[in-house]
Amino acid sequence: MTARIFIVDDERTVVETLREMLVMNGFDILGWAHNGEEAVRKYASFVPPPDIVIMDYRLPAKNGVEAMDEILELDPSARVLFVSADMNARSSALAGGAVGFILKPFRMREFLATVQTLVRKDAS
Amino acid sequence: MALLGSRARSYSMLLVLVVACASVFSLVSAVEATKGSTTISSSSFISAHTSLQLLSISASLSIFGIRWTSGRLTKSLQGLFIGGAFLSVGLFHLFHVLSYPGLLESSPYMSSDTSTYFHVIARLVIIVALLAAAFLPFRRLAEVSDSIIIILGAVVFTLLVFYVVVFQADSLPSIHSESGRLTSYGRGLEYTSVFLFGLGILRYSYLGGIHGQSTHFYIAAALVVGVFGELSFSLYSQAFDLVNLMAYCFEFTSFLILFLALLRESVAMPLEKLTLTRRVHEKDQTRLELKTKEAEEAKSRAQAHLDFFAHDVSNIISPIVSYTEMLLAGNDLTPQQRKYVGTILKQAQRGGAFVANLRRLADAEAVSPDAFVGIDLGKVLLGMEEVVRSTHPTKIISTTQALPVDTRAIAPGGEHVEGVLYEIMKNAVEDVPEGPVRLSITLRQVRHEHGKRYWQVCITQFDHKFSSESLAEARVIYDPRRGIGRGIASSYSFCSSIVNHFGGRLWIENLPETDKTQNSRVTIELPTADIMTDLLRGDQT
Repeated sequence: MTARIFIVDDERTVVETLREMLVMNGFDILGWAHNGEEAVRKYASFVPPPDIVIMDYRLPAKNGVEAMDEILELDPSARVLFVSADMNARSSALAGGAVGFILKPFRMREFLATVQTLVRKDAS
Repeated sequence: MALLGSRARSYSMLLVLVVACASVFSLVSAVEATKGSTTISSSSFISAHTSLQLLSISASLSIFGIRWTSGRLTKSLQGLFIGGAFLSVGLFHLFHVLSYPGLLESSPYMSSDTSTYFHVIARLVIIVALLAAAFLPFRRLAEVSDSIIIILGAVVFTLLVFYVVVFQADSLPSIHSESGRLTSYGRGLEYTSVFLFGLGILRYSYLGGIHGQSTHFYIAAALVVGVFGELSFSLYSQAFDLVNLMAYCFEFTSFLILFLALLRESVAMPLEKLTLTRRVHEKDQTRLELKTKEAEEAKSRAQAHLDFFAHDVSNIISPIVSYTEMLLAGNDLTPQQRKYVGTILKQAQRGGAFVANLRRLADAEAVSPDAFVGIDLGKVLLGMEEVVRSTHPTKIISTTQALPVDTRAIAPGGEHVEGVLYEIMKNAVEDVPEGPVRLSITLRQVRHEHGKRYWQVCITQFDHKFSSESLAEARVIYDPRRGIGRGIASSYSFCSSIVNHFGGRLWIENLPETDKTQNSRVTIELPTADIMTDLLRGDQT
């Protein structure tokens, strides 16, 4: 089964880039959100939930760590991978339960490899 | 204009004073001339004389006290000199009163001659001291020894004069005749005083005009009144007559003006200046606080702008990097296009790295090195491997660590130094595209030749070599005041700047090749916490 990804980022261009990159490499994009509240709401509506959530940190309404906290409350098995330009958010994201942190701008190869590793771990 | 107006007013006041004194002097002299000498009873005269003299003595000794104290504080040789002179003057006036015939039981040491000598000498000492103060430069600052020498000199001089006037009176020419008037010798001394007082008036009026200081005019005024006192002393015909009493009144008035002038110069004016300075200081303090607050706000705004700038530039660059990589991953590009896209990718990555590093350095520099924010290097290094694994899950990383077991390695820099350690580990991992990343991390304490102790972190990477370009870039300390330089995108250059900011240093090197194996090493040295404690205490040794 193809891994299903949910993208959360307020930058539409970034969302589009991630979406194209992931689709090109065989992933299924379940949806996307542009702010923290929308992310939590949409995550709750997915049945079954996405395999991986790609989360930005600096988001309107609710930041990425706050959104992740609520998502993990809804679904403790959720796997959230942070992709952010905020290097200072790394420690709080990892401490909050993120499965990884990638700093923007990132190398495509590194990013895809990380997502694939997480998917494989999930499958096993 | 205000100064000119002030001078004109001072000269006018001097003129008015001359006219007033001359009027009193002429009036009393005219009364004496028409009615004959008006004598007062000896008891009344002595009472009035003693009262006026005691006031004059008080004024003299007060002038001594003021000038002496202020002279010592301000190291004014001139002030000490005048103080010493007025100590003598006060004592001479005291001797004059005590030796005045009729005040106490008759004594061989009480005579008109003795008393008058003390009085005349006191007048001469005043004017000679004031002339010396007006003419001599007194450029040197007074030492403590000067103050002792001057006061001892004044006392010795007074005692010497006392001895000569009291015990060697026979060897001195008579100054007071049996008829109750001054002898021609005595009048000669009084005229000499008048001449010197006149000279003093001219000198202090001149100085007042040059420097615009009211103290000079006050002294000139005191001397004007003093001149009429001296003239009165030279003219009286009876010891207890009205002219003699007028002379003492002039003399007391002269002392009073002099006392007020010197009190004003030595106490009131410095206090006024002090008050003014305090007000200026308070205003400056308020202005400084305001400026500091503005600077803090500007710094905070600049940091917020930089934060947003770094974040948004990274977000802008991110799709450029991704799309160029996607283009390069395909087979649709000509070699020329591939070259161009490759350059765009490289430059976008450099730009992204530069912005991220700039922000990291700005965050670190916002922390004062004195505001000790510690980091437990051992604890951070232990957890660092796990952090790097979490951000690079596809990499195979193996590390060996040699960290102190029983000592906490506390160094300055907090999260900023932690960021540097992460950056070094990240670079190590990302510099190896394929295969495992093998690292050795050691932490130990070293002592340099100047005796200071540092925590030294060595991160050795096996089967890895820095390019000559990386080595050169890492040596460039980022400094916007000198231009950005070659280290524009070298994270080591920025890391080095951050470590420098917290009193340490960082360098990278390739280790000598052994058995066809090339290893590289990054070394960081940070001051130990006790050095930082010394620095916080202000101990710079």
